[in-house]
Amino acid sequence: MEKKVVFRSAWLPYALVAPQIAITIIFFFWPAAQAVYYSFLVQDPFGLSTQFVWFQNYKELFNSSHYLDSFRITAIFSVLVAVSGIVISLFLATMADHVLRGALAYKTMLIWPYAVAPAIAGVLWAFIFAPSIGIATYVLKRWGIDWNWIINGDQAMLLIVVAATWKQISYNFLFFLAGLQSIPRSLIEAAAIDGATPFRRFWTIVFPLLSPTTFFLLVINMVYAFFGTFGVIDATTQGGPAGSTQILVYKVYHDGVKAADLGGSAAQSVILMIIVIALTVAQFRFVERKVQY
Amino acid sequence: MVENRPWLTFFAHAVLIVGVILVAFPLWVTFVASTLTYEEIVNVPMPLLPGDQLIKNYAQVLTSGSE
Repeated sequence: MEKKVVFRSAWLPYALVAPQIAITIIFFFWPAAQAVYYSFLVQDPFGLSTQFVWFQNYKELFNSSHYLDSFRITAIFSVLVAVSGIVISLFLATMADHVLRGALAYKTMLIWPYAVAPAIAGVLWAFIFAPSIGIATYVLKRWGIDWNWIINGDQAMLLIVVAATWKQISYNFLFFLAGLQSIPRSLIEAAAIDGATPFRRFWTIVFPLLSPTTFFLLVINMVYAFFGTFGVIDATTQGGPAGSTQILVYKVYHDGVKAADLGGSAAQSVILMIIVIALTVAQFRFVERKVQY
Repeated sequence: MVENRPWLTFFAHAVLIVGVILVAFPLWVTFVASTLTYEEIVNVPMPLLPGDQLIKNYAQVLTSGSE
């Protein structure tokens, strides 16, 4: 039987939730409504004249090859970041779960990068891969690879994928480790007695039981790649070269702040907002319910 | 650990050590660079062991900022 608190006063419960509601309205609903309103306007760069144009901004966006290209880039980037982050950290977490000696040291060392801010992570990797002085560039040149992410779009993409993944590995690692440790030992021991190799035990027992964690991390990593990587990109490629690393959230910033196209930028924010809402709904529908077997 | 498989344990340690090195490498390089002079950093390849400019660099950043 669920316990319910009943307030006798009519206004007290509303007063108690009022601060939270006020914060949500001021910091979410109001700006969101402003963004929707601005997305129907066209302004000149100096803000002197404003015209109401309904859906013209949206029409222009979906007719713009740059914007559709940005969608493609975002899809490639987020899939690469999410998949490589999850695969690497699952691999490391499985190994960390296996070893007994030095486990704490490994865990501590692997959780480190989580304390690094995204912009700093970008700077760290940009420094290592700097076209002229980077230490990794030096090694790559020795192997005969001409590395210069400032003029090569694919290499720029690779750089931001590496930096963004590096930062997210610790987070994924923590969740996978917790998930692995909550799997009942008896299941794995029973399989071991039946003669299943560690490899087979992983794919038939551990991995299916980890699927709620994996799905949760997939959603979190996708959202991270969509929105949390702004700092990484701004500190390294700034969307370049020639827009080859300009993911949607960076394009919103670039078009609004640098190119002074407020209406177009607002329309992009609204589209991004719809994407976030869709991702959040997906997360609540599938993760909160937990994948059951 | 359910059974004793020395090779698997060895493999796990090897993977973890490589993982830790890869994860810590950018932080280490940056720390080393913070102990070097500008000339030492731009001299490719830069050394991977700390230099003697640690106190000077940090004091400069904390008191007067970078140039």
